[in-house]
Amino acid sequence: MRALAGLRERPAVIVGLALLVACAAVALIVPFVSPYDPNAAAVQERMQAPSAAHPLGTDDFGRDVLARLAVGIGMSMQVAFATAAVALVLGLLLGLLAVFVRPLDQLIMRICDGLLAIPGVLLALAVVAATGASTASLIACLVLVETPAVARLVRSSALSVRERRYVEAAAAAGVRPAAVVVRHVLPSVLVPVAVQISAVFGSAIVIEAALSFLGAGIPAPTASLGNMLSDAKAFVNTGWCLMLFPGAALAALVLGANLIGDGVGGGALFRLRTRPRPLPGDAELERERMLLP
Amino acid sequence: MLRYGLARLLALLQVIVVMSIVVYALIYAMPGDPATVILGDDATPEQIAELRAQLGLDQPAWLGYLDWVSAVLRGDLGYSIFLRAPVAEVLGERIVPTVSIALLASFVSVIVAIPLALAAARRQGGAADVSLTVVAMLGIAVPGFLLSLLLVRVFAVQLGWFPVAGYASPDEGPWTFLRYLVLPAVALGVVQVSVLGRITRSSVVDVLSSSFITVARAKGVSPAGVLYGHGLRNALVPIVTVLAGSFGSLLAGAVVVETIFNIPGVGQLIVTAISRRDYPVIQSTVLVIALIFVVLNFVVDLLYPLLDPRIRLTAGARA
Repeated sequence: MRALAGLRERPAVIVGLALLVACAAVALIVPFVSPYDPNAAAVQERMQAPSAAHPLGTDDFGRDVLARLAVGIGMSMQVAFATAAVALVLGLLLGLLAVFVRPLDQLIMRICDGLLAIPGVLLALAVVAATGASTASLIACLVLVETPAVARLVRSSALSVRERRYVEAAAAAGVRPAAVVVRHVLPSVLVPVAVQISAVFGSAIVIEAALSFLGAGIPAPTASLGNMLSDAKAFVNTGWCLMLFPGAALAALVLGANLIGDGVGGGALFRLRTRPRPLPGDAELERERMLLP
Repeated sequence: MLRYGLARLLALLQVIVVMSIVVYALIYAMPGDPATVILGDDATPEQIAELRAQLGLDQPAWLGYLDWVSAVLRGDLGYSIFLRAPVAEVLGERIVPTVSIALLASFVSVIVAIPLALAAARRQGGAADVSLTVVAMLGIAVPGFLLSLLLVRVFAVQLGWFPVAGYASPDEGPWTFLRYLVLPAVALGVVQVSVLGRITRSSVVDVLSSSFITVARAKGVSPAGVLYGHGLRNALVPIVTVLAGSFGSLLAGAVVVETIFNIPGVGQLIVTAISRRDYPVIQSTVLVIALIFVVLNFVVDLLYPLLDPRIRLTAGARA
């Protein structure tokens, strides 16, 4: 109940959730309702404008855009959920290990720094180039791209908690180290990490779309938002609708994820009059904080 | 200052070593034997053995890595399997448009974001603040490549102000050169405005609420003097940090956006390299872009004490 009451004060979270739920609904319901196979070409019906038969029109192979859009949204969300879940678990594990097993701290953080030095899209491209494009390798490479930032955030949040009196007291009272971490440290790390994970979700969707757009993501003919946009690129003069729908879906997913994160984190972005607080997830801000002691 | 610089240099070297190991190790992520995968089924055993030697796969991984590093240090980035040319040569040519787009996008974002953020900080909730929020939302929700498609549709196809696609080398005159780069740079710039604008606004708002601003106002400094001389001046460190810190994603963004405009940059190079599994090209491209990014950030780290004298004392004393 308290969580629900909290939600009412955070409209950004509600709007963000609504966007994601709407996208998920399209992805889940359309395949059952639509009479069209998303991959079945029907050349005589190609490039049709939206109509009663094809609510969002057809593409250059005569495939139903709505059916493909549903598959594309589903793909994006599956990949992003999987990435966020794995990055969350790995990031928590590595970040907490770095804080509570001191010999590992330097090692883990230097590896994270090295990975963060490679721009996400490029690292993902290089990994996919090596492993070949498939949904599993896509998720693996997104995890590799996203986990370092999560681990660093977990580490920096846990570091500040570790020095608190109540953690010291718990340890002094003889609570087992694992129990100290789970019961006393984890809860206060969760809010900044939740913000970061929703950013990971959004960023995974963008990178997946960019890779599929470049032809290095979800292999054709399976639809994804990226390869639908890439198909639409050729018809920028005539088929305006072709880019509009996958583009809008992509924007809705990314915005939804960021609104949720922003709302949970206290709303730095979409609240005007009050003084903005920095997003705890901002890597730049973290860098800056570390520089200015 | 010297100790601070040396500490930063040490950190830079650590990052470069780890990053280069990651880039080198990626070839071991290939399923099966990389040389066979790269050359395909109809390659002769001799060709495969030759490529294995060329990629350093015929020796233990750590020796292969050391060989690769020493070659890179001598400026040898390997040999493209399909372009049949040294990667350094190809990359040197292709990196010009990509870096130009990223620089131009940074420039666009600075001239839009900073005035907008200053106006937003001065009157919170005013027109500038609302537009900054809208741009920030747009920049977060709409990735650069999607925005590029929309910009092409409106400004190239509909209005005909800019070419739909293509590239002119800088030799053909600065205006022709810029005309082809405006749309991709604006597309990436909008994304960047969202990051830069938010940071600038919040830092300036933070600065404006500190007590030395009250003192400055009390002793009669003009509102503009307070805003630029104190507000912007003290927000320079986060602004420069964001500019340098996001240059990597701008380069990566330029790689994606280029392909929409048929610009012969790193993007096209890497996409064709992936489809042909031309691994030396992929490896070196990622390495060089990451190097540009970390070295830029190193230089910016060294600039901090100049931008903010307070940092010289604290960071210098600590390091």
